Amino acid sequence: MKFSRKTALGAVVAASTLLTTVACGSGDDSEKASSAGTVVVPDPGGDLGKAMKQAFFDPFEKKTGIDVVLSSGEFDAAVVLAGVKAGAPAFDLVNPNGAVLQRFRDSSALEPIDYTLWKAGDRDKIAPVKAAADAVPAYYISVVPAWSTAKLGDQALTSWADFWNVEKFPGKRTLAPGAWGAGGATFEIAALADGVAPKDLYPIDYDRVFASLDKLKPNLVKFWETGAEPIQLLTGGQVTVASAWNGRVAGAQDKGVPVAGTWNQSVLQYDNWAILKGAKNVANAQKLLAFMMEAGPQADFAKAITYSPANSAAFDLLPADRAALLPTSPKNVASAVTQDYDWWTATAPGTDKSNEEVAIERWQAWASK
Amino acid sequence: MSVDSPPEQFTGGLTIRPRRRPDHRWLTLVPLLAVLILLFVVPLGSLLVDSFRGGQGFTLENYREQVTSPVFWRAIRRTLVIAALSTGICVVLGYCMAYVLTRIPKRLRGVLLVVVLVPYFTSILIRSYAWIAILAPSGLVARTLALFGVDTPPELVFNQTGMLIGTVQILLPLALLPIYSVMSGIDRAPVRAAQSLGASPAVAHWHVYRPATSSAVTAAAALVFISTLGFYVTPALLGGPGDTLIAQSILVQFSNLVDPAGAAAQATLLLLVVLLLFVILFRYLAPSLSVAGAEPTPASTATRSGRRFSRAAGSTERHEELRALRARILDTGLDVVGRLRLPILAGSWIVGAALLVTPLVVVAIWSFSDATYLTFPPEEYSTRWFADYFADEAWLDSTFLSLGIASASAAISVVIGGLGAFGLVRGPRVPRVPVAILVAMPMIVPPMIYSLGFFVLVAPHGLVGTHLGLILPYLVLGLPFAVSITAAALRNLDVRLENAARSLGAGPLSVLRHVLLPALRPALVSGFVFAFLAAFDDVVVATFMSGPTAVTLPLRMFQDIKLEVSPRTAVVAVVLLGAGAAAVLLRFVTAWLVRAVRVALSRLGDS
Repeated sequence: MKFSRKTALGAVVAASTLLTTVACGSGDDSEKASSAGTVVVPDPGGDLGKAMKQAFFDPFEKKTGIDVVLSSGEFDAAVVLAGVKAGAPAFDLVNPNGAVLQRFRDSSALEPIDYTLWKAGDRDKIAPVKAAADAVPAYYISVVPAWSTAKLGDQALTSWADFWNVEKFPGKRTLAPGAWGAGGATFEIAALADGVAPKDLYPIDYDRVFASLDKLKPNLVKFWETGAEPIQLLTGGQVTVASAWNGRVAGAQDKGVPVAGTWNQSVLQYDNWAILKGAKNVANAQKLLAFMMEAGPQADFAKAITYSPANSAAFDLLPADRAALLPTSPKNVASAVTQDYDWWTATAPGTDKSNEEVAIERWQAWASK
Repeated sequence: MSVDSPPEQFTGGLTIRPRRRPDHRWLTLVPLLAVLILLFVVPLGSLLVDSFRGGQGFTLENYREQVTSPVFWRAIRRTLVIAALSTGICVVLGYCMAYVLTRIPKRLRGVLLVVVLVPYFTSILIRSYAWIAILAPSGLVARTLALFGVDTPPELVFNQTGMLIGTVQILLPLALLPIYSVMSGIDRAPVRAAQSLGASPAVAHWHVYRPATSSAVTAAAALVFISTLGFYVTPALLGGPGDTLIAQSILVQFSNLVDPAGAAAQATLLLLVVLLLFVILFRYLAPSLSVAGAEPTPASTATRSGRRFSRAAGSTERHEELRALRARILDTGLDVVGRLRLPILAGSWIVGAALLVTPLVVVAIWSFSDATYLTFPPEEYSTRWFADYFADEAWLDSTFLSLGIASASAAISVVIGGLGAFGLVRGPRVPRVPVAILVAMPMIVPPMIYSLGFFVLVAPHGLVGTHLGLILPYLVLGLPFAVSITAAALRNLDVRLENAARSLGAGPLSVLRHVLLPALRPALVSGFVFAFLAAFDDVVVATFMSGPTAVTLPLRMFQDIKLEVSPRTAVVAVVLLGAGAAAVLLRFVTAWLVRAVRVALSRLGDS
């Protein structure tokens, strides 16, 4: 009995090995390794991915000979953290948003940043959010009210209250799911639409937020699941008005899609760069990070996509008309609301959970009704 | 679970003479069990342990939080309703469609089978976008209805209707093929005999033909039902605000709340609910549906239903009345169905084919779109997205990687699963129920949870991003298909054939070669197809197990359309369809050539 079990197991292993070799060739020979090594970063894809490649990765490869491997693996914080925990992170460098960053910190999943590699003065130019020991703001983006100009013609929204106003701006709506917590800024949006003043946004008044969402619900077709989806729904005519990231709106406009957005009450967010603990190419990741945060590449990035550079010195290198299109340009930021990641990551009073966790749970309860 | 076997099993050749050697057929279960335990139970077990782990050692907190949460139960209830509805639709539609397949010329059958498999050639995501283009208020259906003067079309998408349509499209083949593989092996002579004795076609079908298909129907229903439980992409895209299903809820727990322990607890609870449901179903509703029971012949069904009725008859007269009423309803129903059988059968294919093909037509048109977004109908046409695909090495690499990995894992699944099915059906009765449950597990456990467990277990050993690291979990995901489809066919295969062969001196290998393999071929092929598709269509496992250098095609498509909704994914679908069509064509041509050569040779021999 023992013998036959062993034989069977052996047969399984043999069969699988054989088939693997037959079906897939000689295994993992595809790993490119140049002499200077590699660094693995998640590929955000779309226009953002193109902008990063153009401004950061290609010039870095040219300068150092280090291969930047763009991994289109899923950038899901839970999956990435599971990788760190298992001692095999899928990436070297990651770009979590301001709230998700805290989860990486909570799991002690981040490597300290080696600022000695940075060009003198660059660290102090990181603004308005400062560079931290284990993370650097990467770029600023905004969630804006967007609409189909094919449907609304010359009518333009100027606030989230307009977003809720289906008499004046008829048509279906879509928002990001609140299950993302801070991610899609839906909590802030619903509060602003209900007339909460920007300075009173935090702590989020859940009852008011859900009452506000209840009013919109009949006209809300769905919650979008990916950054590309609101633009697709606007283009396909399934919705007339949507919340969307400003770079998506600008990218669609460049491609001739009849959409528009407004900076009024745009919700300003930022992503971070951070290096994962236990990553295979920490040294290369440090070099890449130092390079990306230089003013030159930062300005090139903002020329390729309408997201703001994190190094404020980059604005000196940008033409005024380009700077005007960016979320943190003085005019745009004046009418924007800045998302408060400190509040989102703080512990909710009376619980052992973060405000974001509580918000997600409240959202699930509301949405499943 | 009381499992009564039909007497036929034991009156076969072997009981007449004492067996010469001990029955070793259970040995075929060993590889199946080894794979399931090593690659499935162990990773899940480690995750289960995690679900009981809190800040300070053992805790039930994760479970308490879920059990007391109305959100969780709402999601479970909604999921079970959607699962039951899609199972009902898929099985009824699939049954009719499979029946049609057995009654039409072989060549037409080949074409229709391709239609059934067509949806698998493209990413679930773009299919869902196609459904939006079809069902949305300004979509195809609404425009068609407007032509007939219907101004207010029904709301078909961004609600549970849309969710159901998308789900049925994806799962219909899963119901159809197992039923077809069994139906194609059924002898029609008894049906003709019944009809010649005066039974109407529908009555003959119901009492003579249908019982022989019941194991396949059960398998199909179980496959569809269980698959629905793990769905999240389709509901997320086609459902309305708040139509959260359990898989989405688990995903939120895992991804957004970064709470793997809570997610594992939800998955465990889901598992318990489903198992409980199955136990109840088996016990009270349909004793003949038992996974572990041998397939009844018509005679045994009669004795069995007789037994069931006698149980009821012992109680009161009301039962008698109920029984009579039920029989009357059945007769009337059969009469109506019998009269309408042609429209019903033709209608099943019209509805089924429309469900399966329409989104693909939209996708095919999109692939020739010049636009950067998906607008339907496209304003301008071009082949630039094709050029884009063929010029991109990463996309081509992914295509070949996925083909290789899916074939390898499906081949191993069919070998191990086929052996296991034999052990399950022909082996000893004691382990049947536990083994059947174990085999069904990989389908019930949400792939997200299983992948996580597997990932955590193998990541430290450098398996992430390797071919083996992808093949092993796909092997596990393919096994339920391979085992359940083969087992359904085996139950329908008279054990006396094997016994006769054995008593005539055939060894196990020649029984396998000359009796089992020829009879089980359709089942093994459909088992392979499903195991292949389970791997070829998967995004979830790939999310965990793909490294930067081994990105599977579905994952690349998923990421691509997630980041930028462009026609590129549509192109992949059309390229795969083209390749599939070419392969089918090639097969027909070779078959024709072989036949031609054979005829020529035989003529040569005659002269």
